[in-house]
Amino acid sequence: MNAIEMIGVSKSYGQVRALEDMCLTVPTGSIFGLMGPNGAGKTTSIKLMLGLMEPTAGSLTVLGAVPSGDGMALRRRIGFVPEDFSLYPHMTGLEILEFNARLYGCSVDENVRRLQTVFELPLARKIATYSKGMRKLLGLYIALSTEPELLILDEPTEGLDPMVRSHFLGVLADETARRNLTVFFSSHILSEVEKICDTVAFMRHGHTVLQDSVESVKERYRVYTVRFGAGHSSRDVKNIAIQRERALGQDAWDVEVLADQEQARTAFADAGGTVLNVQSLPFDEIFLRFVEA
Amino acid sequence: MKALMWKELRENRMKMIIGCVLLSVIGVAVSIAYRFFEGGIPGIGQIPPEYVDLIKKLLPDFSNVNAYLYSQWFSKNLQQVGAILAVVLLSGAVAGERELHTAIFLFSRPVSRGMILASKVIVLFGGLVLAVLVSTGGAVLGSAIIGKAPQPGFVLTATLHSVVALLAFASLATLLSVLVPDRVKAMLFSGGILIVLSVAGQFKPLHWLNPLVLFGSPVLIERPVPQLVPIVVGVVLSGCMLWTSYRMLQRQEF
Repeated sequence: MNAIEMIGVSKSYGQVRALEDMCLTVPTGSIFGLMGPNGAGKTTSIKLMLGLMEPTAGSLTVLGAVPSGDGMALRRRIGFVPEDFSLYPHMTGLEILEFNARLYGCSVDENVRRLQTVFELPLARKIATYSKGMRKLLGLYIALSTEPELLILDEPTEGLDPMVRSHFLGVLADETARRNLTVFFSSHILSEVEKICDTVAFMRHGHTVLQDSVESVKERYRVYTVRFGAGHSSRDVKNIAIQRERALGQDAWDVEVLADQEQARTAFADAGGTVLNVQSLPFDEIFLRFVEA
Repeated sequence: MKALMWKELRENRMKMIIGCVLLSVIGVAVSIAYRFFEGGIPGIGQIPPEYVDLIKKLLPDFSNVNAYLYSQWFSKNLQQVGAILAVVLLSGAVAGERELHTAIFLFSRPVSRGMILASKVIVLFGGLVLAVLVSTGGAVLGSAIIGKAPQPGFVLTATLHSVVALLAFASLATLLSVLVPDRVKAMLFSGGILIVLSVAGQFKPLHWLNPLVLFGSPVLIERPVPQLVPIVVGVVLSGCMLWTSYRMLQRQEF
């Protein structure tokens, strides 16, 4: 069963189309990274998943429920750390944890006390005195404290220094490993997505342009240097989608494709080409190829 | 619901305490000041005799403590300071959450928007009503101190009218707090609407627009029984504005 399924989801704000025919599948138990430039539609997707807004078209289910219909019951099963949020500055860390627990209909229990040994936050202090990094950690603490089935994090490490970011990601990885938790993670920091996510989706202009496992993307995306025979060119290549091509000379091309190597070699051979060289690309370069295409 | 109400109470307690203390001090001061007006308006002997009759016609008969409290407390200080308190308390109800970026946290919890709005309305309306009751109690106490206690029936009726009117003002501020994502703007809009309607209502053909008529007419002084029309209009208006606030909040996207 998938934790999240988006099929052909669109969302418009007046004349502006934030999402257009968006499709996404998040397997249960995975750490899923949604990546895209600013304005690609990541936050809108998350708000739809939480039932904070309704899609204009398409079908969306989260943990088997429809967010726009079962929003309240669904949110009880989700932990959420928003991108741009504040916590009530007059409350202490412990008070906000208690307040949140009561909204979820539970109490500050053993799980919360165990998490305190992980986060080591000064819970007796007012939130107004917390640094940005401490607030983000408290956000994750709050989200994990109610034992959610799905954790949704909207650019959670944005603006954090490398030490706090590393601590944040470490805690996230440890806690995810401890329980059967699905994590949906939106970010444009490629290194952290590559580090902790097992599946990624790239977004551009309101829809996904790629969804695959991180390893598969890195393994399958290759730059092939191909020499085509007389009367042939890259236009003759069938069955594989060419992401980018660059002429090196009269008959040689650098062709970038996302495909199994065997399949790519066969496709080039069928098009009268000979593969001279195969190169891999770093993950961030692959991401840029998709979002800039 | 209890958790939400506790949060509202903590967040707004200083505003409520300051409002309550300020209104109470004014209430006590106004009622004690009756000592200076009981025997007539000080210095009226220096006014040319041709104007004295005119002034006496325009001013209430201060020999009656009910008339004094009606004109100086219920339809002046309580009306004005109470209206400011209503607008200040309720304008930040939803707009404040948006402005401080806490809305996304609150609305992504497993609670309905209706519960969130209801908790705010219950606590803040409660604070406003408490301020009216305590301060009016202070005004009655002040009158008792100088030995001029007002008629209980009059005090109860005038307080009922004041509560209904101020809750209608508070409902308007709640609606604007939902519609306008900025506390100060919501405050200025709701205050502005009340002022414009009050000024427009001074002209006879537009008298029905005057929100101050919800406080009841001076007939209360002589006949202290609830006036049905302002009470029903006040309650219906409040209900409609709160319902609209709820519907608008349901439709809003965060």
